[in-house]
Amino acid sequence: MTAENEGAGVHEGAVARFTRWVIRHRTSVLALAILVTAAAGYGARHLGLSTDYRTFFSEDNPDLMAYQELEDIYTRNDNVLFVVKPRTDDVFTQRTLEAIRSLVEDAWQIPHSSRVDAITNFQHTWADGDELVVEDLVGPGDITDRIAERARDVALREPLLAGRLVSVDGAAAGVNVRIVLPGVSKEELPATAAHVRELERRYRERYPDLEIQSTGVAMLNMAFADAPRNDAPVVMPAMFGALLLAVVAMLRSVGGTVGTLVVILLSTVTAVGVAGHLGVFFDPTSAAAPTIILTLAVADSVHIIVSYLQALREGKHRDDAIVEAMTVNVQPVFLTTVTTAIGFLTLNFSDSPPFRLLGNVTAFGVGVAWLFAMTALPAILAMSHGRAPGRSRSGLMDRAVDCVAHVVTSRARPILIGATVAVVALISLVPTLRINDQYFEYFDHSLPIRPGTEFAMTHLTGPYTSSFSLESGAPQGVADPEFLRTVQEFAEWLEARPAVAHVNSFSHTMKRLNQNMHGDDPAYFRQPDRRELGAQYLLLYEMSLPYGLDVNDQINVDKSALRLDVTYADVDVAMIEDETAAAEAWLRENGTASMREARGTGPALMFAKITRRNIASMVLGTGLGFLLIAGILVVALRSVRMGMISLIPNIVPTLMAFGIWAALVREVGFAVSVVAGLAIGIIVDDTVHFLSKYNRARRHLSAIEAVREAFERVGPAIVATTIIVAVGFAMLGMSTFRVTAYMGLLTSLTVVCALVVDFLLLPALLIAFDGRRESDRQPRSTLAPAGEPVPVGAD
Amino acid sequence: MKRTSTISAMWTVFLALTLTNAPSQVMGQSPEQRGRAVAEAADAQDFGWQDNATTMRMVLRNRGGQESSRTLRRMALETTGEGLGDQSLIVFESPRDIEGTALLSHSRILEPDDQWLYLPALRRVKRISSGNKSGPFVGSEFAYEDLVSQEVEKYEYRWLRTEPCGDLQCEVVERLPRYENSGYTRQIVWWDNTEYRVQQIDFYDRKDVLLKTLTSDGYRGYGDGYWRPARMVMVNHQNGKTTELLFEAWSFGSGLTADDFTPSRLRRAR
Repeated sequence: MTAENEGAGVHEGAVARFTRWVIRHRTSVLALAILVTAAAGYGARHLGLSTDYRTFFSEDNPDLMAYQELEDIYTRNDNVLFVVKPRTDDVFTQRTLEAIRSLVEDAWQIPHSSRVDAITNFQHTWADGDELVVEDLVGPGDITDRIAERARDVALREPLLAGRLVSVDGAAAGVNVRIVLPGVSKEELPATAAHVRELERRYRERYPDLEIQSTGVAMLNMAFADAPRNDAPVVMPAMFGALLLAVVAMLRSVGGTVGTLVVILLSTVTAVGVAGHLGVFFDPTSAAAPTIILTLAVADSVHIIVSYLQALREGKHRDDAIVEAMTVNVQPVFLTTVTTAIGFLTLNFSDSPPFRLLGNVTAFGVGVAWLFAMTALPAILAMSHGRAPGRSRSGLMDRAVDCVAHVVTSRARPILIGATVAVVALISLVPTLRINDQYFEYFDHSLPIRPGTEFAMTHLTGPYTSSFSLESGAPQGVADPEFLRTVQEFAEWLEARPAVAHVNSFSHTMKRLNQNMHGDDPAYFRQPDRRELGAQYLLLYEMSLPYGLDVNDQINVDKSALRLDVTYADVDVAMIEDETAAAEAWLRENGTASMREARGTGPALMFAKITRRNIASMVLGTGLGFLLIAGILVVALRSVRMGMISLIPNIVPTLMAFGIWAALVREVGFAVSVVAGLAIGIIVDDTVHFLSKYNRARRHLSAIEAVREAFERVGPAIVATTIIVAVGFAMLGMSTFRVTAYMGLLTSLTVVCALVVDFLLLPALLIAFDGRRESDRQPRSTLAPAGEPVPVGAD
Repeated sequence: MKRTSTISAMWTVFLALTLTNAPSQVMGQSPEQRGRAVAEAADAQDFGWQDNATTMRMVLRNRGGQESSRTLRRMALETTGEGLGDQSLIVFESPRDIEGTALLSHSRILEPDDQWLYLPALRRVKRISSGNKSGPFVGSEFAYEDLVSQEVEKYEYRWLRTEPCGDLQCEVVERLPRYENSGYTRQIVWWDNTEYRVQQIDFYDRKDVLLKTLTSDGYRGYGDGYWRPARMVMVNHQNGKTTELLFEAWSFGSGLTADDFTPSRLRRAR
């Protein structure tokens, strides 16, 4: 930087020469830019959408690894759950049972289904003397009242059904379809989901007296692809419209508006297209990248065009005005591009790959925007008529900024105290933020997964589960009586907890088999008392399993461990973590030696921990980002003290935004972990602009006068870019995906807070701490001996 | 099964094969007729074995490569009644906890089989009523319906082609199960055209998607030219699991009778 400054004349000359070259070859330059964009944009056809909630976890995320280990031992539990509720609130009628039986039959045809389960095809076992009967609870043929009543008796007392495939009051029933995707083609899940929706539609039509909804992990996964597809036609056009409006209002120049729009379009298309060439799969979070690039790319152009219009008004000729605008802006725009990119690149520290992708695509897009602002923008301006627009409109904003400047400079001390108190108060609210990642609620009600899941939660079962793999310590050990009794105690302990809706444990099955094999004598509804008997029941159970089921979804291959699944009632994911910890404690205290180490696992626990994992991983990244940016500021402002002071307006706004969020919304998801890193790169721009102007004015003015000068020179531009960026990120709030919406809204809030801090706290601080050195005529002379103007600043 | 009809079927197949690969219409034989003829030839080849016994090791492997194994002894009796399949008795020898557990099946062609189970720990024989032939065989990738005798009447056939399979030539025939509760929409069977041994079967699930592939090898001729494999491997393409059946020597004609396949004999089966 210093070397560049020493040769500043040569450097600026180079920029001027380059700009004149661009102006001369404007048609070719613009054509080349469009050609490059087209070539890059062609890659967009390779873009895919990821369809798996696991996308949000890095490969080495310990929670994901624990869950995958469980899935490797047992089976992967992706499913579709249909929930059927007759308006009469009784599923045990001829008509409803027929509907369920028929839905079971049709559900076998869902692509990649491996097993369909419902009350009707439940393998009911019962004893008839020395005969053991295994049959569908509701078999083929007419469903008489007697059959319906027997089904009610059995189902509502069967632990494997009640609370899982039929509600405990018999008002709603479920049809659960296990989905096993081969993972060969991207079309597998969409084909499955489309078939499910079609079935749902057909059954609603055929049975208008039944309410039918669907949910399940497979449908959740599909929603991850549906969300960005739903967002794209809403968020992007809204964003584009808002930007167009803002740019027209602020610039009042056709050439400037066209130039800005072309630059942001080219940048966005190029960045997304290159991502496509790289074979990227977008998810609802990284799909926000185009919108963000659009927003941030505006700022570069606006700075250049504002300078250009100013020069025109000063009576300069079009081409000279362009050259001047480029010359004064080349470095600040480059600097803000670098800091913004650094901010987004800190997202690489996130434990969640979608944020890394978002950070990298956006950082790349911001770089591309700079490139186009340096080439395509002057080319387009050179094609305009080059007449200065009227300067009326900025009056209001100028007056408002003036007013703020006046108040701040005249009442610096009270403002400093007031602002500090307000900031501290807001920051003190941050600990009240509640971290909660209800991942089925990530989607808003416009996506069918949300109403479907809520319907299931209200009437049948919740979507959140955790699983335990309980070790017996030896092959074939799951048949051991002591082990089985302990598992049963554990299951009973879990069932007694209010947060738990259902426990699926093999110990239930063992009890039932023991009773069946003793002529249905209720005295034998208990665990078998000998290991051989347990092992032989297990063999019998394996022999009686129906098509598509094997024992491996509950018992591992060498029969040394079994899997126990807990389904939770309508509780927060955060609470599931506490419940799991309590269950683990129970096992440590009461479990057999082999099961003391058992840990709960599952998607609910993965999401419960994702925010903290991401915060932990982002602390280092964000810290590095702050240091790097502070270092850049120290060099750019050529003042260690200014660099230090700049930390306050860079850090405080994020904390304020979190405080406001805590007061208004209270709940955050894991988007919160990346906002600080992402926002610093953006809000630092305003600090840079303000401090550089202040710094330059401070050479010959008092602190108070220098603050006024800074307000006047750069205040309106800061307000304008803040509005654009705040609106842009607020548009992400329209996303159907909550993580993205919260990230956008929080960033937007942070940017607004940054404006408040830059306009109130920062000047008050400068006056209070820099103003004391009033006697020191040249406070920065030791650091910046050269009389050269500081190269930062877009005046 | 009448001996004469199978002999004539063999002749038709023989004729068909001597004019190899000629379009089936030329022979005046539809693919359906030709497919059935192949199945009849295979059935005839394996006709009259009366009884046999073997011991096999069943090795189960999951996608992750974890495995477990069991040893079981299987005895079978050829049955010729109308609509009846063969009878079999399976006795588990290991692991120790299930030693002596025995399963007796009297299979039927189109109806649910009769089954009895003996649990030594309970010392009781239980008759099991289940319509469920499509379920897995004791936790393996084999379904019951894959392991029981494959009577001609169980399927409808369609000959597809003749193609090399290893060192042999195979008749490739599609067959559709007639059993209502079958887990399959269809199977494709590779029979070698020298001895009509099943070399491979592809199983298609209820959605008509490839579910499993069975390959059999190590065939050895016993007694009067009855071929039995030393190894059968079933690979499930959808869940990544495999089951391997490794057979020790088979014995034929050891004089087992219907009395050895009655429920009351189960207790003494070990």
